[in-house]
Amino acid sequence: MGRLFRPIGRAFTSALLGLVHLAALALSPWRIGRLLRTVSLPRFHEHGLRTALTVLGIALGVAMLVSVVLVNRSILRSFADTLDDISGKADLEVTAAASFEEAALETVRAVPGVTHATPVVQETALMRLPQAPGERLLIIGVDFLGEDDEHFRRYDSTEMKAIKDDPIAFLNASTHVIVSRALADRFGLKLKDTLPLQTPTGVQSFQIWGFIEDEGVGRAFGGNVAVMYYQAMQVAFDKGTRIDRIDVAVDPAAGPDTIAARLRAALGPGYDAARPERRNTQVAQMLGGLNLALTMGSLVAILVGMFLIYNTMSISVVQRKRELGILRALGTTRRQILLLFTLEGGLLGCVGSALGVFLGLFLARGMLGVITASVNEIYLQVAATDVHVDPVLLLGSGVLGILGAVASAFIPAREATRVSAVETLRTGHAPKHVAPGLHRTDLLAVGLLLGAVLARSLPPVDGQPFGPYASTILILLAVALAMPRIIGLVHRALARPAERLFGVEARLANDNVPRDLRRATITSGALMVGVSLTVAFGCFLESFKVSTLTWVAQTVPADLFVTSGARFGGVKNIPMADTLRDDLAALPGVEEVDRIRLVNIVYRDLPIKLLSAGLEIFSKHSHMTFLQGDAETSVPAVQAGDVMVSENLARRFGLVVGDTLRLASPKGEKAYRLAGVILDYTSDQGTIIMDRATMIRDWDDARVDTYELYLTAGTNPEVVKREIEARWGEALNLYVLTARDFRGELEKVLDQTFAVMSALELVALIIAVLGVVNALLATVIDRIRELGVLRAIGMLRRQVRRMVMLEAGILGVSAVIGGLLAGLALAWVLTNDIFLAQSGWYIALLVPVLPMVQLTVAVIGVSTLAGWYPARAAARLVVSDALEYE
Amino acid sequence: MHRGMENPVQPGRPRGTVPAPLRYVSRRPVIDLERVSKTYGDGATRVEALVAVDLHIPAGQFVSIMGPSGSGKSTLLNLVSALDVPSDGRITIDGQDIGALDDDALTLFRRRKIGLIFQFFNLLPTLNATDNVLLPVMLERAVTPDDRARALAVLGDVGLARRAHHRVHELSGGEMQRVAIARALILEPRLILADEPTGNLDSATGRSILELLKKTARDHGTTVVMVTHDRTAAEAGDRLVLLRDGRLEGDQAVGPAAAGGA
Repeated sequence: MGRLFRPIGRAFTSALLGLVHLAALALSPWRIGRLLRTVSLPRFHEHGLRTALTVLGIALGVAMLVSVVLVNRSILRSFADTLDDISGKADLEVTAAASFEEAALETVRAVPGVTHATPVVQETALMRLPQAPGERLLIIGVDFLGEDDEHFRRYDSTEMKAIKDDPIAFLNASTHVIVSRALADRFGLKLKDTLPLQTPTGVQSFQIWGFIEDEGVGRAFGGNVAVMYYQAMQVAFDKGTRIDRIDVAVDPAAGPDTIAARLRAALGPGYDAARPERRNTQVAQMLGGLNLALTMGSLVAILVGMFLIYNTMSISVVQRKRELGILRALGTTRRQILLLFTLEGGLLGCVGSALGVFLGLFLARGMLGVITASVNEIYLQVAATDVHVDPVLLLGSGVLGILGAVASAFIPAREATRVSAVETLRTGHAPKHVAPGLHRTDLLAVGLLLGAVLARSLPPVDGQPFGPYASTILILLAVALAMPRIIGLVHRALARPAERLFGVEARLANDNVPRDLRRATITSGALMVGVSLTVAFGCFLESFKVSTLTWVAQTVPADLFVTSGARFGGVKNIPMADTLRDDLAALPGVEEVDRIRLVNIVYRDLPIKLLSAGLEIFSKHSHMTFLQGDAETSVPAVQAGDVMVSENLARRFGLVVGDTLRLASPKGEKAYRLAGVILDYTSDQGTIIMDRATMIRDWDDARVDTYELYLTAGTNPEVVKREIEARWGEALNLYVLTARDFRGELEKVLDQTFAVMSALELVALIIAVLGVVNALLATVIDRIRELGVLRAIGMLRRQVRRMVMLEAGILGVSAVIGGLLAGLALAWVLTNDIFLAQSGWYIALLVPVLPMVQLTVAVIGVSTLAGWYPARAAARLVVSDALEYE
Repeated sequence: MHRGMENPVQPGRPRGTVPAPLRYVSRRPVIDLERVSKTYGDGATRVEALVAVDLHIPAGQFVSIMGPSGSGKSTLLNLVSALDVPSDGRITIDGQDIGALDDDALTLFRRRKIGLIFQFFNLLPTLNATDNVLLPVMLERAVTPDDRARALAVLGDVGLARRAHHRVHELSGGEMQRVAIARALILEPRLILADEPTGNLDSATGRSILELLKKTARDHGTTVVMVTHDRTAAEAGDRLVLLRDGRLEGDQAVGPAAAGGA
């Protein structure tokens, strides 16, 4: 293996050094550039591996930032692009809480200042083509035969022009569609081909009547788009005479805001008129928490990268004191030394950031699929297939990496300026680095902790908990400052047991750790940051999982869940017409069937969920946790037309039982009395729960997202599941999950959602481990002579190897202790402040003991293994050379 | 090369005269170098550090090696202390051909048979005096109370009984070198090799260290080989070997041995 990796490692190191060379050459017209080339470059070469590891560390940090930000932007951009492509030149769009009667169109057209108005129906359907498994299609129903529609949208389609001239044949059936050229090309679809689609009433066969080129509407939703005549679509999708919105163009002289106010007044409560971009803002707000968490996670990766630069430059200053003395003696000014070392850090930062930007572009492509899948599962349907490359963003991330590197190099560089020429040249030895006054650091650590406590209580800005996020950074810094104390404690605690367990090598390793306390602090500090992130997210995820799964077990205790088009009802599934209930109830072993409908609505400008269930059945089986109200009074009230809300919605808007909630329903604004606040994890934005009868009455929506089946005692759910699948599975594209499947799938979705976060933790840990390798390589160089003596007086090569690896392991022990402390504090802030502010959910913090033990063992193990390469280098020293080394 | 010959390395000495080291004729050589050469590099960069050196040092002898810089002293010491292997020739130490040993065996051989003393003391700063002395024992096995008692006794022998628990940085240069000597003695090696042991000390301290080395050779019958630049220090031993350009230039009895032999 070694033979395979060595040339790869050398090639990699040489390539990186080549890049460092190029960057230095660019600076050669200046005096400092020449100094950099003649003084610094040979050092980079001399310590090629360390230079490469440092550059790699920065590159990984920058890559994570670039990829996360690019993916976040790409998802929002994809949504905005689709909106642009579909809404085109609309100045305003008229919407209601859900679909509304197209009669409103006449009211809109009659409003003074409205120049054009056209209806739009929109649905997402599941394609049932064998060559397109799981592919979704955005179908837009428009009045493309009317004059107004031309004002808003551009269709580059020969067939559509022909249809416009002679529409009779096209309008003859409700299943004629025009699809995008991209879709047709991708799945080999031809004119007059059949396109089977999953609709609320089951699978329907549509026929392709034309193609739209890859422009305007044709590129919406990643190209997975079809256009129908809107009235045909109303029939095909069982929408009666309802439409989803009206696109409006206004007289520029009047201005959109004035017309929007007129439209609202004309249409009355329940309708809204706003600029289309508002939907972008709502989506950005909906995804804000996820985006912020990912961005913070990637910034931590950069922070760990900064530790690495700081460490490398500190090591460099200590090892080059003699050289610095010579430079000072030859007349190099302190300012030049400061500039030289800062530039060295900046140079490493430049190369690392440049690599990171490219690496980030690749990572973003991989990450886009994962995050889009999570967004599709939890929030809304987007078709982000391409990474939107924003040069400003790439440049910004690169600059951030460089600035981080320069800032990290500045402190060691300032230290380099303090080297006395006379002293360094006279002694001939670099003086050992002693940790600066510990009391000052201790006080600072305590101060930062107090700051963290204060920052926790800062109110959110635009709904985002910036204070608690600042608190997490302060906690990390405080624990980083406490690392010398932790290292000291670990050193004392391990003194005897380590020697007893691993012999003299362990004793010497343990004694070596605090010898260069600052290096040990930085190295284990960086690792501590990685560990703390893992601990914090581990605890948070466990707490969230346990809370969610407990809630599911108590509140949603059905034996079988039946959905169409996706495993869960709510976002990705295709709502079903209520045709199955009686058939399901008639199956042997089925006691009761509840019907759940989950609708996206906007409440006080926040996109939330409106959930309806048969309260009689639901309350009989479910053990709802009431935070306000109780089952005895609230459930009958909800059955009578009141509503309940989830804990997070109540917290967001300060709702209490007895309040009135005004919701814009398709039948106009409706007022509902709040009868109870319950624990509910349906949506992180908030959920309103009403009885199914109320939803049918006020929303005119009898569709079903999930049938929840309760079986009689002793019935095997698997048998009923197979029966349902056999009877209706294929036709309705049903997913039938047992309670166990449901929990398993839910866990999978949660894990998938947090997978990117786990990847960020992993990268932070990898960067920190690179730091361990880096620091130990420096330690070996610093102690060459001592290693020579140990070998001379009889230390075997394997004993040397063990000693160096144990030193790495002991650094890992300190990092784990610091990481556990910081991680638990971070987990506390994450669950009680950040998550609470972003989701409105309070979850009890749980510490998963076994994974924490596994993490401890893994980190110490990996840290020990990180010492392998330096240990090997130490063991291979030529003893006689080492003894003469100075 | 004849095993029974007294001192075969007598450059410049007229045949028939009897050199002082013949006093040790009855003892088996502890160090036996047969036509040992050491070269570094190839072609134009080739350097002959030692050229066909024959040297035989019997047990209990205190031998000083002198020569100008680049004469091959350090190379000779590295070879004798099994830190390096010869390019040619054979080195036998205490009856063991060290060329036949692999790295682990060489290391164990050094640990058990050779005590090393360096110019810069080279003590571990993290250990106190006693633990520095015990380091070779620690490398060998777990330290027992007997080992600890022995370390204290050895420290007593070198005059540091009262400094046994002091850290390295609390000791003077002379004291550090005494600790280094105690460390070299703790496993009762057959051979002590010292590289400029007084080079970093003032002359009074240097003299006391030389006395200690002489006493060690005398009391324990340990062979001492010392490399030095200092003629006075060199004459503290029994025998002086002179090196120049990698070749033996002289080998003579010095000090009391010379007086006795003359």
